[in-house]
Amino acid sequence: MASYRRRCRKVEPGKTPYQLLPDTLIQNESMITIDLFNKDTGVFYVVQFTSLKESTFRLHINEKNPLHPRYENEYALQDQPQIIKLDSVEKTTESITVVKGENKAILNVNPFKIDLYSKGVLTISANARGLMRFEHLRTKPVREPEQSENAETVEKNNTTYPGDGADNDPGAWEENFKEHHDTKPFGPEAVAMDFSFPGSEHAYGIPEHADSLALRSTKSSDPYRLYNLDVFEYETNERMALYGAIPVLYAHGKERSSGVFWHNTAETWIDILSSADNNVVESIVNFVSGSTKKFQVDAHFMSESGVIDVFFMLGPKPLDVLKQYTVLTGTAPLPQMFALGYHQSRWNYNDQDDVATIAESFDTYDLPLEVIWLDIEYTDNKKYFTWDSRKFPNPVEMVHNLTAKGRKLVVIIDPHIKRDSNYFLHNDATNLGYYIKNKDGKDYEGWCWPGASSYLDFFDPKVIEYYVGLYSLDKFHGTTNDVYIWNDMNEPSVFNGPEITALKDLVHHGGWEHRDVHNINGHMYIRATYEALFRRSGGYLRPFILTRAFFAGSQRYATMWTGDNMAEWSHLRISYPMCLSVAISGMSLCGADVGGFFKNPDSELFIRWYQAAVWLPFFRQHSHIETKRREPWTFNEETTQIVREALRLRYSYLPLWYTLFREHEINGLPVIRPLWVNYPSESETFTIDDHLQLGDSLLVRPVFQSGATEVAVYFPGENKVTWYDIDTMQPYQKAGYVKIPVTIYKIPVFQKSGSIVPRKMRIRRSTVAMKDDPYTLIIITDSNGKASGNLYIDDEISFEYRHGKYLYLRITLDNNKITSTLIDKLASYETQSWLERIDIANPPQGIKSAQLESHSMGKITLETTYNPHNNVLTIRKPAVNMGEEWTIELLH
Amino acid sequence: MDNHRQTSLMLAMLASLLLLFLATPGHVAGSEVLQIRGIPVIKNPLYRPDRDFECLDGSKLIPFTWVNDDYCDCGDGSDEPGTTACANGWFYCDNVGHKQVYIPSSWVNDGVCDCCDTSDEYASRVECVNNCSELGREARLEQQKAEQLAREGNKLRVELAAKGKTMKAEHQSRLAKLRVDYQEAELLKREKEILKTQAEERESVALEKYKPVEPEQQSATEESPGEEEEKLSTPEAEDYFKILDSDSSGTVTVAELQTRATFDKNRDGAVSEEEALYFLTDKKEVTLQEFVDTAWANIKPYLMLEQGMFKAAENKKEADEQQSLDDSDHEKEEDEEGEITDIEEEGTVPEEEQEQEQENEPQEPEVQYDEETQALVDEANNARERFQETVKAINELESEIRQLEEKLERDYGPQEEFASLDGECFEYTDLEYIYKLCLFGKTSQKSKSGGSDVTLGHWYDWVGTAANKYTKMKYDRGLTCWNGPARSTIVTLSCGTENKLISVTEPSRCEYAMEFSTPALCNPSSDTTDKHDEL
Repeated sequence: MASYRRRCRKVEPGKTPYQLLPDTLIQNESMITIDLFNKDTGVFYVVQFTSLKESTFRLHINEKNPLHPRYENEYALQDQPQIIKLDSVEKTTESITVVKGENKAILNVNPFKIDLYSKGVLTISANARGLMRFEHLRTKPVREPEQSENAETVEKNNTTYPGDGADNDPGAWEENFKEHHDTKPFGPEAVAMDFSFPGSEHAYGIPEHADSLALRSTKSSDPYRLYNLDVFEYETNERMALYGAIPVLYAHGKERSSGVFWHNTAETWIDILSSADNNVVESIVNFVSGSTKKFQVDAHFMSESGVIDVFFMLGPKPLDVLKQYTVLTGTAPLPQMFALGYHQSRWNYNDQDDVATIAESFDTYDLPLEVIWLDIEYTDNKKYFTWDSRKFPNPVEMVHNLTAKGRKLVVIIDPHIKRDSNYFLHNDATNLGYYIKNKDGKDYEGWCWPGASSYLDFFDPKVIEYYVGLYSLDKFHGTTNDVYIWNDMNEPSVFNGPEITALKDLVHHGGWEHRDVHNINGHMYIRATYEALFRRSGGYLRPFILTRAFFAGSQRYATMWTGDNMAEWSHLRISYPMCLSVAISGMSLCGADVGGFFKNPDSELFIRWYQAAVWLPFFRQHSHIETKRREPWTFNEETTQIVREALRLRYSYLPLWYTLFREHEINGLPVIRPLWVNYPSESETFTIDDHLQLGDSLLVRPVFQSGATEVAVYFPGENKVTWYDIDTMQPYQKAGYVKIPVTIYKIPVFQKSGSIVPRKMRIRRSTVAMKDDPYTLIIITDSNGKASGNLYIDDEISFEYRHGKYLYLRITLDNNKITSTLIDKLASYETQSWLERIDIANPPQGIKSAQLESHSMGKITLETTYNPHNNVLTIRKPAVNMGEEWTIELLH
Repeated sequence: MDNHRQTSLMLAMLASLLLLFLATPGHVAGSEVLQIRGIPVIKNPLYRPDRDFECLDGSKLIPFTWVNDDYCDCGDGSDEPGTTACANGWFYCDNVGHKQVYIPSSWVNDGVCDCCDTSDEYASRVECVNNCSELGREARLEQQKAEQLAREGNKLRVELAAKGKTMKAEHQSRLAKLRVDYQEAELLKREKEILKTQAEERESVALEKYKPVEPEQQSATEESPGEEEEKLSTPEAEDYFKILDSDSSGTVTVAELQTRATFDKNRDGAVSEEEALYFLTDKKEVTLQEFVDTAWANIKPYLMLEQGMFKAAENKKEADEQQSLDDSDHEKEEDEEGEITDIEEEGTVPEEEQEQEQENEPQEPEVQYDEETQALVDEANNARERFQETVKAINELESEIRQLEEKLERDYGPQEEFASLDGECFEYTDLEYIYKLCLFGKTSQKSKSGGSDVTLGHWYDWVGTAANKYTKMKYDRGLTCWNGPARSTIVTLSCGTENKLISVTEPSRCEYAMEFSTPALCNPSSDTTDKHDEL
């Protein structure tokens, strides 16, 4: 166990030694600055408290005179956060109150704590439990062995302060993990703080963990850990660290939601206490609260180094707070359409014939496919940017064979570099000093796939520039603009390192220890790859990168997946909370290896996995080298058929996915959502993580159990909405849990009344072939006969949409009239797609025909047919171009 | 670049105009008759412009203008043969000069030229070139070559079939004969058994008086030759120790043995820890001294077996008991006669019986008997020997019968064309390995740099589809992979004038795929290649 965690966890509640020094207060338009004093150590700190846009405050604390600079990361945030003018600052001897709009923060002088109010209600309280700890930098006490007692006396004589206990901690200046030694040359430098969320029932976020979406109390267990690690055969329902780390935590209760973003890239542990799983909440310290039943969530963040830099996001609704987080760290740029289609991967497709055969088989079995993936074996002895020329003598031809059918290739590029004097990359990196160094300043040497390896230092701008150059098409032979990139092992994974990662005392560019930057290491890597792919096409095509490691803000560069999972029902089940958790933490582009990476799924698990994965954003089958082949046709005819239907279903909803991803880019809302995000006042939804919503119109509840004949579906909306089975259009009016019978052929999916969902019903070989195909609209009326929905259209590949080349449509049904209007009137895009069909569930009665009116088509009468069996009215072939505004009136 | 984009934009606009234009009729206008797009002429009567169209499944009647109007009205997709509107539709390309073909309607206008006559991309962003005559010529050439091959191969196949049938007939008559022999041998055995029993009764009465004599030397006498052998082979033991000690640690460990198929006593494809412990005399590791003193005695027979010096135990599934070398020496002959392995592997029971009976044999007397007693003893010995001979004969007969029965039961193809290939072996060498396929026997792999054979599977059965049963063979129960399944091989057969192993790959770890060409599969009458279209 890390010694800093022990020290932080040992801090006694209610005895904080920190107090503000009100006389030092300086204020400007949007920020106050004030000194903070630790009476146990006599150390001074500087507190900066800033008002930001979108109901957000930032608290920044650093030592006033640190021995040397402490690490402050600059790569997670999208830009400098946008500050906003404070309404007022009031100072008394007890406190300082800052006000911005409906939000207010009271900084208590002694003991130091900060209470944040939203609309007059206490929402977040920082250091309320007094668990703040900020270990100041110090020189290593010089102790000669025989004089150790003397030395301590000397130390004590020098100061009147009792100290913070770190000096005497044997783990503060060096520590061992198994056979590994951490030299800790800078000694103790941990930072920690507690946050309380009165009124909140549950906490969420702080991915990545293979655990439930709602965080559990850690009162009697290890805290949640954020430390990017390559975990072999990870287990489910564990809070141990995995490949990625996003230190954002949300708290939610019926009344409001809020969140904190702990902006720290070092190893971090988080203790959670929740009133929901504790009868007595010992941690509630003197909250002035009138409510009778007190809900509360408490969190305690502990990081090994860095500074305290926290963003408080005050909501008040779930979608508000999720948006506030993406305002800070950015949203995912709209992916190319192919990224949302189906991906076929394996460790490994053996050679270029193998690749050709697999692609061909997708045609033979009439299955859509976007991308074939190549894992590490395509390289010449794991030397990235090279090919095994025996197996892949002509990669460009292989790529062209794929692209001729609208498909792409993704190849893996990992950050470890083979130490081989015949490898140009190794020679360049050695000669130019581009590797991460060990504590003695020599190139760090670890062990990974190629054997002895070193690691490029992506904190060095020169390294990034060099690495970006490697992707240029004249340098990386065998690639074209249709070859995209998979960055794996970027935690980084070091087979012979502590916990299979790098030593903490390695040294990065600028002299920063690996300890300081570990959790953002993988992020730096994909950031460089993004730049490389962006430049490769001259800024025209949208890059696609898959990453395993990630940090806050990684959504700006890459898609992530849940790493090396297993062909087990529990792993299928956990893929939902895992992806929901990263989705609310800014990264909607999430998927899990379909079928499970390790081991072989049976056909039932395989089918259920596909059916569930249809509704996760990133849809890729991948498997370990020692598993059986498992392309969709390798089981039996029925399995192939069911998987084919699942794929077709996915493709038919791509217009909805694509629209939601565009909306995510604009407003930060997650594409897949847990139910509580859309239904914040229904407490039953708070712990549901085996359902998800696609945007707010679809509700999905996969089958996660073998042999299931029914599943319990929770219908949210408190009887105000009706849910329609997307297949049969059967309505479900009753709110709450309903048992729905299931067969192997499908899982329950429902569309909400009042919504309009765009689909494409012509499923092709790939999304490229479907680009110009016509649209079908599925309209479900609400109790007032109304419905609405959006549709976004562009070229599906390029950044031209950022120059106004797109269509963003608002489609509504109101008063028997369906209307399509352009939301962005200035944008335009020449599309060949037209409106093929409209299905209206629960339509107005007695409709005989419909009349279309548009500028280019004038008035046209359309055929309608009513199907009494499912109560659906179909409008036949309006045939109007999607780029045009139009109305269709339903006529009696 | 700009220029290019402009052109493509114009093309796109043009295409959309074209689409609008086509949207209404959706037919191919020619100078003669209006041909409905996407169907062969033969289906024209079902699509008559002068009347309403009835969906081919009879589900609906629609105006004829709705045929190929790019909207799916019929549940069976029959109203849109020429467009992509119906998910389950098919598009017909005439491909004049080449082969006509149906493609899924989703391939129409998808930017991929699927029909060589370009008819599927009539409103597409790609420009297709009609290359039917070229392809047709190539295809016909290919076809001719294939037919030529099939014809030539077929001649060989016919020969193979004739050979196979002869073999089968021979086997049958041989089997019939053996069955008669067997019955006779049974009778003889019974007779000899009675004689033996009688002789032994007389002998035991006679021996009563010599009863108390009882030496317990058996074990000692049996061990001594073994010990001698050990001493003699000490240098060999040391050499072998060095080979086994692959990490040069000075000890041979269980793990080191587990990497060697030699020690797979029960031939299940893997060396279990138990098996390894047996050889190391229940120690996890042994030093050189221990190895020479104890372990070598256990290892030696298996090593000899592996080196082919010791054929005797080759067929022994259960060779658990440490057999003294002279003991196995006389078994050698009988085993050589009953060489064919598969059968013996399954029939372990008789061997056990055999061993037991041998153990039960009374020891050679050490005592000097009087003449009369000695005569009785000799007589009894003689009777026992005669009886043993009959037992042996019966075992041999049984074994041969079993082999024949198995061969006769085995499916050698509809006309026995594979029968004469049984037991034949073929090799294929790639960059790293030499692969070997012994038909109806086993598949194996050997590193080019040496080392022992790794079994990739034993004959299991034909596994082709019902229609093409003899196109695939499966060999399974090969050596178990570390942390994985037992190796297995699927052999895909094709027609060729030569019996040849064409390729070997490993698509999944420990699952091998071999391609084998053989005249046995050249049968023009049931040739499948012609019908095997894209769809």
